[in-house]
Amino acid sequence: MSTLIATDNSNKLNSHKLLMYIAIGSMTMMFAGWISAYMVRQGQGRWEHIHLPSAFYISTAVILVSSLTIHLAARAHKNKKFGSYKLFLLVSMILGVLFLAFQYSGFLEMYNEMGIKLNGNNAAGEFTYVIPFVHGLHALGGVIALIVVAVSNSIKTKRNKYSSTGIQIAATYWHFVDALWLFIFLFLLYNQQA
Amino acid sequence: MSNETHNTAHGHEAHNDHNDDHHHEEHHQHFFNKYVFSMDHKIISRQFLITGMFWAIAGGLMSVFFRLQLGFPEESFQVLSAFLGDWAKGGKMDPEMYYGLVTIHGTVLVFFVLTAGLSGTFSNFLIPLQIGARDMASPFLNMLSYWFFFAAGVVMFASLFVHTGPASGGWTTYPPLSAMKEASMGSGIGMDLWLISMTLFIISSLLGGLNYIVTILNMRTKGMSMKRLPLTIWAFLFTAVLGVLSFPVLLSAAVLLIFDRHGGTSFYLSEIFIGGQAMPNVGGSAILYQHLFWFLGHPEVYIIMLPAMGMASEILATNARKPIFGYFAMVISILGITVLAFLVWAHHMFVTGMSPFLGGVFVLLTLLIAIPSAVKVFNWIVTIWKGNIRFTNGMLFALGFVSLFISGGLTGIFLGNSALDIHLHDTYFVVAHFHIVMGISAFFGMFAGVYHWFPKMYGRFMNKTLGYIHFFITFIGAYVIFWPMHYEGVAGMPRRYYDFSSWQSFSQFGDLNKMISIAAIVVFFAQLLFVFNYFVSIWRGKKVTGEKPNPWDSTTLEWTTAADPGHGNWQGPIPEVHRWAYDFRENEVDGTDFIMQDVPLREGEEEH
Ligand code: HEM
Ligand SMILES: [Cu+2]
Repeated sequence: MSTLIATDNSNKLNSHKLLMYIAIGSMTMMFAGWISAYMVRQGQGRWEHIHLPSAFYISTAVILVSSLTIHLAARAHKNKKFGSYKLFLLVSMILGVLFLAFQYSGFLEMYNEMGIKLNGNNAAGEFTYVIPFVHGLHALGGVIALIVVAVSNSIKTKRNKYSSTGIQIAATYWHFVDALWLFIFLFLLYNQQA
Repeated sequence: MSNETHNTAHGHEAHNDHNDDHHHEEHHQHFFNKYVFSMDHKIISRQFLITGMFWAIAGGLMSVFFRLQLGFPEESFQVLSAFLGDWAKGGKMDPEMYYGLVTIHGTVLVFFVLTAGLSGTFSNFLIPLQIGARDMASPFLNMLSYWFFFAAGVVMFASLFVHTGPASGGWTTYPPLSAMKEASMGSGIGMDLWLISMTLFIISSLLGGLNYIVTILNMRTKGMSMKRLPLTIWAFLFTAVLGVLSFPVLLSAAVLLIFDRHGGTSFYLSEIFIGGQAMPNVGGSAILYQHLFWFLGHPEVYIIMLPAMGMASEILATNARKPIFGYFAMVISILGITVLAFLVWAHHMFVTGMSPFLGGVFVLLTLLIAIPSAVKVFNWIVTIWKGNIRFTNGMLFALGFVSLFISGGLTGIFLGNSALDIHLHDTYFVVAHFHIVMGISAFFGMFAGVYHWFPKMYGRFMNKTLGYIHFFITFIGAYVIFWPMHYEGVAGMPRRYYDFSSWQSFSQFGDLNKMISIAAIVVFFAQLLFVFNYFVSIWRGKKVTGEKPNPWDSTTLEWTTAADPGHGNWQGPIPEVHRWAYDFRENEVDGTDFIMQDVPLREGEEEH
């Protein structure tokens, strides 16, 4: 009977993947909270429009490319091409770190060159700091996840075990972080003069 | 525990997962791994329950203290200075402490007791046992979920002892009191600790919720289709969905609050004067916080309610010896409540100056919730109608739950009409409404669950007589405490006031307030009876008998396990399910009046 149970479960979605999908739903709700806070607050007036720092444009390009490389890494792992898997994973990590660096320089740009200070009277600016900041925490989590997956996969390889679930889940998360940033970026862009 | 039987039974059977090795280790497991950092869902569930009980006593005691103040504003009490020290010099409670206690009372009862203590306990205990799984999808995340909750509790407890006192702006922590450090004593470090604690708590409940959903969707045993799930499991599933989608929004609100407090932003702050001094913040909106808070806040009340509903359904059917009436309608109602719960939050904000048109939309959506609620009530009543009722402790509390849910639900309909709410908002009417419908009735669901599943948790019964005494004092006491508050509220008596005695129009309620306070003290001590019963019964209670004890003649899978099954739940293979969860009818084979879910359909028998 236990084998029957096993077969019964096998055509269901892997539990860890399902866990990730629901967690993504949860994080989406959190960002929906901030985005709607932005809209509600904007609707109440006293709102100075600001421009996005140029670094954000570059970081957007970087994270888009990283989504492609992580996709290639996951596919390579699935096809057991471990050489290109390692390469693409490494590139993805570097791009992830680069993304964070550009976000940071975007904040510096806003603060130093554009003169947007946090002194309690520029709501648009405050949101433009806070939403990318909390997104950045999620991206940082993604980079850490990639490192964890890389390490655990290499331990597994040494023990001759193979499973591509880890990298797939990390890739799913990274795509989410990417899509989320794209949305935030376009949203802020749309609202900078609207 | 029956480790001997355990191991012999185990040797012959094939297991299908990791728990296999685990059984061999059980003898050698250290106390620490077995009872402290345990990954067994049954142990984790008891950890949630006992931690919840701690917080219930602490939170209850706080209410006794502030009821002393409300009932006897002229008097002073030594017990207050004994517990509160300088916060009650000469036995007279300091107003700041009054607000602190009200705030922490609300927070810990809503979140720590009725969310973690209720969902955490019973989702953990019942999901794997009733769906036929050896544990949660991720036992590790499950363990983390408990320890985040524990840490949240430690921080909240610590906040009671800081020199400026705990957070004191109410459990809803509206700005500006919560957003400006200078606004009041409790707005300082106490409020920071509140935010840290709640952040830990949100993480805990997200980890728990994710696990519950995945376990229910993915780990059901063979034959356990969704339409054969007990209603408890349906309720836990939707509870978890509500939590996973609404708690993150509370986190969004909290993060903006943290930035307002420490980052110099003013999301929620505008044009505030403290001691005649104008603050620099302009343009923020306190209403924004209310929207974000209630987007969680309203689903939260159903996070509290749904598990109680699910357990009551189960216990009512079992002890009425009848199938639940309208199983499918019950599931659809839970779904309906879940969806509507996300669409009604602004009924807490009718007086914030929202446009009457928008208010009208929220009135309509709010009143719609009465429909699935009424369907459920109707089905419970039909379920017990002409039943062969067994008045066990669990059954009494389940019946009490239905009574309280009706009483409190009806006053919700008053409040849901914005025209009435403008008068009733922030009065004792609201206090009465939510204590009856959420506070007490969810507590009754929880008590029903504890009395009912105690034999499964510990292999012993709780003392029945003490259970009856506990029930009657609590049931009568609850109505004595909260019913009169409706009258006070209709008369306009506002909530969250420290002293009404200098207020001419409410002096008529002086004696009523005394009576309420006395009843509250009596009910509090009756709860200690329950706690006593619980802990003594763990070691001294009457033992359940039989190899696979099924003391209430239930149909569900948890009663197909051994008395104390150990990690992995079933010593042999997991049973297969062949029928729905409410087959209460004549059983031709053994002459009983129920057929368990793992009994195959007989020849010619059609499924329900
Ligand atoms: C027919 C169903 C219900 C309706 C129409 C309803 C309506 C309302 C309304 C309009 C308010 C706002 C009152 C005010 O502040 O002026 C309210 C408050 C509240 N309700 Fe209900 N309610 C219903 C059922 C429930 C249930 C089932 C629960 C809990 C399980 C609940 C828990 C609460 C709580 C906690 C508050 C007050 C929160 C606070 O201000 O501190 N309600 N209800
Ligand atoms: Cu509500």
